[in-house]
Amino acid sequence: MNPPMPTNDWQPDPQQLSAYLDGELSGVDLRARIEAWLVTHPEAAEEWADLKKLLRDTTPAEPSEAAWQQVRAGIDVHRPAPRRRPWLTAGLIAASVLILVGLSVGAWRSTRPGEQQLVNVPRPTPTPALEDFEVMQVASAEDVTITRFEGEDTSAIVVGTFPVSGPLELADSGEVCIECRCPRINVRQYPGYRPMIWARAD
Amino acid sequence: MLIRTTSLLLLFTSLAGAVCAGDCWDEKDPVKVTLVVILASEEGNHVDKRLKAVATEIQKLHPHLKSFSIKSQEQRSLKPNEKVSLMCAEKRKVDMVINHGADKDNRVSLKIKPPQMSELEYQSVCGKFLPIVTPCKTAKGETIILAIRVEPCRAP
Repeated sequence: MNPPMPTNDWQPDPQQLSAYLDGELSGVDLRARIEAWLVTHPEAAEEWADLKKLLRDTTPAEPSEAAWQQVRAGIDVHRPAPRRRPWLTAGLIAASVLILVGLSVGAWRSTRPGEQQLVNVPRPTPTPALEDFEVMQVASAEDVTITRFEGEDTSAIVVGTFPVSGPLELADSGEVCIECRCPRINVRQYPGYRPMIWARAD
Repeated sequence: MLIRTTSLLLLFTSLAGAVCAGDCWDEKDPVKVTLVVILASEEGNHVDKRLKAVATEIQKLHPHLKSFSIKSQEQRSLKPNEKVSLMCAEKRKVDMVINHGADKDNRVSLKIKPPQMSELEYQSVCGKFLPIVTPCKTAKGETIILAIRVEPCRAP
């Protein structure tokens, strides 16, 4: 897009021209108009270049650090010294100590047992000491003898000795002597067979 | 003299106590009786692993019994001549009396009266079971079998 051509009677004011030559002009449109104006007025550009050179040549140099220090020293000589007030420091220390003591006493009174609570603030529940708990003693298998148990599910009982803890071992031949001569009962107790008693089927 | 006699008595008592510790017994000592109630059925084929030996022996005489399970197990400490009734099954009871504890042959004598059976008396070694197949059946038709063991045994 071509910059708009300046009209014949338009010319930048000195601030605009100075900003353009210093590279501080932000408006694109204005910069383009000034560039176009400078094309038709090259003498103005030369005049501004001369002015800038004059400004550069006449601007004093930045003062050195030594010069600044000399100035500061001169200022300090004439500045009045601050007034020393030792009683103020002592007073601040005493006030701090009093505040600390007051806070400590307040904290101690609020944690004393049996202290009447003036403010209805819920106290945290104290954690019971370990010795306050009743330790549950667990019996071992030998401590409990189960005298009677119904059913097969012996695994339901965690602790205890059952009347039968393993396979039933039958008596061998000759280890049982049955002394019954009952008509309705069969007895097997002869050599080579495990003893057994059973009711006679009628 | 008195001191010497007392010392000798104490020495003999101590020696006797040391020798008899765990090895002396009396036929009047209590006997621990274990009663296991077994239910045997003609149905199924499940045998409790604790009853394999029992099932094998019983099936030699009653091959129609296929399944064996433990209904209850009970242990009681009985003094000689002390009569006790132990629960069997479905309100049936087993009466039992210890005649004497382990004798010199390590045998215990007892009398039992299973349900619907006559009283019988026998002597048994300690620690082993004697199976008794009763004529009783449960409401489900299971045969009630008793297995009885007496303890303790003497040290060999």
